[in-house]
Amino acid sequence: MNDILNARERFGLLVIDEKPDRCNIIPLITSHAAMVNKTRLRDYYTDGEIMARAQIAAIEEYGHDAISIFSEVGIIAEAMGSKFDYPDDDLPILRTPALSRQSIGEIKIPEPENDGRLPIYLDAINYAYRAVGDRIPILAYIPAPFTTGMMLSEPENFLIQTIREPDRVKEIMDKALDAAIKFSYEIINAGALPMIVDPLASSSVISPRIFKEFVLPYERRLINFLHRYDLDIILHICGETGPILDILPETGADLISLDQVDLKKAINSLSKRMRIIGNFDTSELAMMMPGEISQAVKHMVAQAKNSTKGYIAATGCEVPIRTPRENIKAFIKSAKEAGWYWE
Amino acid sequence: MNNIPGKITMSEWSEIFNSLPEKIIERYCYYNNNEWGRYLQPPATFFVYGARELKRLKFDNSLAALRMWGFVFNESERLFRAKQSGKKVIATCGDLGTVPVIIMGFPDCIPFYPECIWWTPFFNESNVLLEPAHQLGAPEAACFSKAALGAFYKRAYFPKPDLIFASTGASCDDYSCVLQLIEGLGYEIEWLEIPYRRGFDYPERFVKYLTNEYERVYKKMKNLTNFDKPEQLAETIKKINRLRLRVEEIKALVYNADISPLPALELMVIEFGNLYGYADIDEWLDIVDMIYETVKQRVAAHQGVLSPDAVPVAWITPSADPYLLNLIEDYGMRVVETEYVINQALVKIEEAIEPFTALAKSFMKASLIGSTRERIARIQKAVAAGRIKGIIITNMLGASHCAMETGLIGYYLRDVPSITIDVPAPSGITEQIKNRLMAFAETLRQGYYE
Amino acid sequence: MVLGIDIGSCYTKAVLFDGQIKEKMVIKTSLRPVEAIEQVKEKLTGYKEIAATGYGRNLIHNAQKVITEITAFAYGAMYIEPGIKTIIDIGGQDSKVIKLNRGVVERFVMNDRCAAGTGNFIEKTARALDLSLESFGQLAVKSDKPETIDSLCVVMAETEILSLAAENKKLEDIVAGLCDALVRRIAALGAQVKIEPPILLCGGGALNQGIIKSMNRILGKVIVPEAPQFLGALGAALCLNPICRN
Repeated sequence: MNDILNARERFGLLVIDEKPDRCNIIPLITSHAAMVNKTRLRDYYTDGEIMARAQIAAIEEYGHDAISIFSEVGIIAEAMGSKFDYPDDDLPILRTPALSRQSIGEIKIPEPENDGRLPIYLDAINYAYRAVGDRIPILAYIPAPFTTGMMLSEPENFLIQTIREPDRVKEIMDKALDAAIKFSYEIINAGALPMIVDPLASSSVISPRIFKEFVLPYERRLINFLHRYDLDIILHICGETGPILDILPETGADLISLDQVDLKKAINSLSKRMRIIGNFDTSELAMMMPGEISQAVKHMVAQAKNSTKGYIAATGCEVPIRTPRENIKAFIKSAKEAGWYWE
Repeated sequence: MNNIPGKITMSEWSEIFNSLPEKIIERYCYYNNNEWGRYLQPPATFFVYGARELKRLKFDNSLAALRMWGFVFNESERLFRAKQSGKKVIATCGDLGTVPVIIMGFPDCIPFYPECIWWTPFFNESNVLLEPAHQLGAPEAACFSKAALGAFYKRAYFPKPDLIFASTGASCDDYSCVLQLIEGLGYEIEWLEIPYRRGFDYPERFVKYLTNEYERVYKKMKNLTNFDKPEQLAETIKKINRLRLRVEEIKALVYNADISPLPALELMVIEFGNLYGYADIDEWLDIVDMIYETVKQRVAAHQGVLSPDAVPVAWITPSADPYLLNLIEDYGMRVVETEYVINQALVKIEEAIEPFTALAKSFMKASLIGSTRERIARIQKAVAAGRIKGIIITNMLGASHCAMETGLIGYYLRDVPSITIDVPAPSGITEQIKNRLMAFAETLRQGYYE
Repeated sequence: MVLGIDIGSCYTKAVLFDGQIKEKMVIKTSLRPVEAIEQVKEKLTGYKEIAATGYGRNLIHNAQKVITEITAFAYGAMYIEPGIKTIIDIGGQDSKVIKLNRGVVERFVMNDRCAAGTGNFIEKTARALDLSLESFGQLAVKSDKPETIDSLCVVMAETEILSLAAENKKLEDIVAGLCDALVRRIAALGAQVKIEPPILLCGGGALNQGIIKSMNRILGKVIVPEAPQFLGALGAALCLNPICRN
């Protein structure tokens, strides 16, 4: 079947409870785009136009349904004072967290147009929006306050502090929230849809109790802000989410992007309240043969495509940078076939 | 909210919106549905969803205007929601303003105009709807109403209509052809034949003929809904008249104020609302009332959105590209009279006579069913009264009524300086067009202060 | 002293003016208007104020006054010949007919959508005939029996030229026919504003003797100022003149 709709129309129908020609297919193709465009990774995450061009090249190559503006989860923390190294062929690496040099009070809410690499995001959005914004949605990944909080501190310290100094953690997260809101605001005005990523809130890292106390309220506040604009908000949490499935709707997110969880179980508990995104195992995507991927993708899509509030075929996490292109093509081709809705 | 009237950009609207209290945002819902019916959103929301032109447009800064834009931009979703919630969605094509009056008399029936989607390619600065139209047989040079063909093909802009009524005969020829291509996609169309008026005084038999056509619409609707209460039509006419009267009041206030209290773009959206109330007539009425209050207050306070010395002009034929309406104001002109080919939707429908006949009589005033001279009679009156210093005519390339008519309009109105702008494809407004508009503004200004 | 500068799509024209033209210059714009402006400012000095017109007018940031060519031409025409009723401008990329009423622009029409009726029409067809612009004009004047060329479109006209050449028609008659075609296009454009004498012809097209001859024949006698391509720059300079301001 040939596509009838473009990606923007397809996403537009999904979010108003209508079935598009086929299900949306949005594997989280982020920095992998640099490989498609044969771009050095360091250039990809330090130059917005290069990032956008690589993303567009990836869309042309694969035909998936959204541009992803993202490099790594430290982006807001960096603009608030954490220092990162920029390896040539790898993603930025946290060198010195802001809070190891400054007090919380000294940390400023960043100006998205000036601080850190936030302007690069905005440049990338502007470029992509002008180029393909009429036909392809642009998702800009925003690290949620908990994840940013961890990137402002020594990660282990931060986790310990949730127990020993909860007030301090909340103080940090208040700032991270303000920063996320301010950044989201600029992203909206540049034409992208903010997508909240909170990988460090995964149950592989924290307990459901900590999630409830430290993650949920902040995600909810960020989402509330975005909901004023009536935007359809995607929340992505990597890793294990089984133990918090029942709590996830309380975040207010409209679409939930899941990773390591039993899809059937997730659909059962969430699909009446949230649109489901997921959840192909990214290590399988990188390692399996295209034929095996096709099989597995078809199975996944068949299982989820009729979820009550709709479904987006996706990977559970970012597509690994060096995933063979044939594998991604197999993913998309089989998702298109299995995900067709119209007569 | 800022109380000083003005025109602001998309990002300025976002800033104001950020400080709007939650209870205001919650207040406005279409179909009275609070779950998915909220519509008070700033332009940036629609920008995120692909309306790219919003970044270069300027908007009125009143809450009423924000509400209006949110409502209008939500129409596509509204039509889908209507269908999801069990309402019947009826496409009324080509007659611009009359068939919907009949439809609205049936419970839970929502009329809409697929051709009004001709603005979408311009708001989105995109050929997404035009490309499939070309592939399906609409010529590249045809009127932008062909966007409707793209939309019917794509099924992503409005739900499949429960019925499609379409005008042919003395209606827009291009759109009639477009509709035949739509029929070719497998849609069933109920055609209405529109007579040519032949002068200001038309023969009575035309009214009878049209009355029959409208009764046929009624019957079709009756069969669809199993609802049969012809007296309801009189009630709907009253409601529509209330809207038309209100819009007339707004126009009179705007046209006659010392300082223009509302931009031309917003006023154009209001005029077109007369056609069908953007698929929720009750909510639209409320919005128009709110705009009226805003305009009234501004006029009373001698405040407005344009410079007091803006040169008054008339606008003939609606511009598919909204940006043009912004531009002429940037260059120091203001619109004080319009002929948007919807004359028929601006006049009061008689209430004292049999309703179908009243509808037919009101439609006999339609812009497109008579000669050019009749079409612009109102503008000529304004010219004679000295209210207009210049005329802007937008020429839709390929639109059959434009191809010959634009020259005629210029001819009949030759006593006033006029300028014709060929509306180019989406995002095609060039420096040349701007240059011409600017020169026109300079010319009028010189003449104005001579 | 004031500097009037007209940044056209093909040429940038400038005059220094203090009651009369002190100095003037013209250079190619060649899609690099900013460089052209710099060159003008280097060469012409001693002015107190700048007024700009032409497509590149907004690129001059320190201009005291910025006006469109239409208004500039009107000012310029009044300086040259106060009774002018119609201005015809044949520029490189567009052409205009401007109707004046006691020196004030009453109406105008512009052809800016395609090359028909613009200098570009002559340039392209001259190239097709392998003629320089000068010899094109000189040749056309010699003809007393111009060929009829129906196509107003450059691309179509080129095919017509080919078939005329194949019929061994005289080159001067073909060239004169092209001038006629251009003038007929202008006449059709001008019909919308009703061309009335006295007519002033300006723009680069007014340097072409062939066009002038066709104009005289088709539209009636036209007045050609001494330096027709400077009318816009002059008009811009004049708009800074206190008399014009009032």
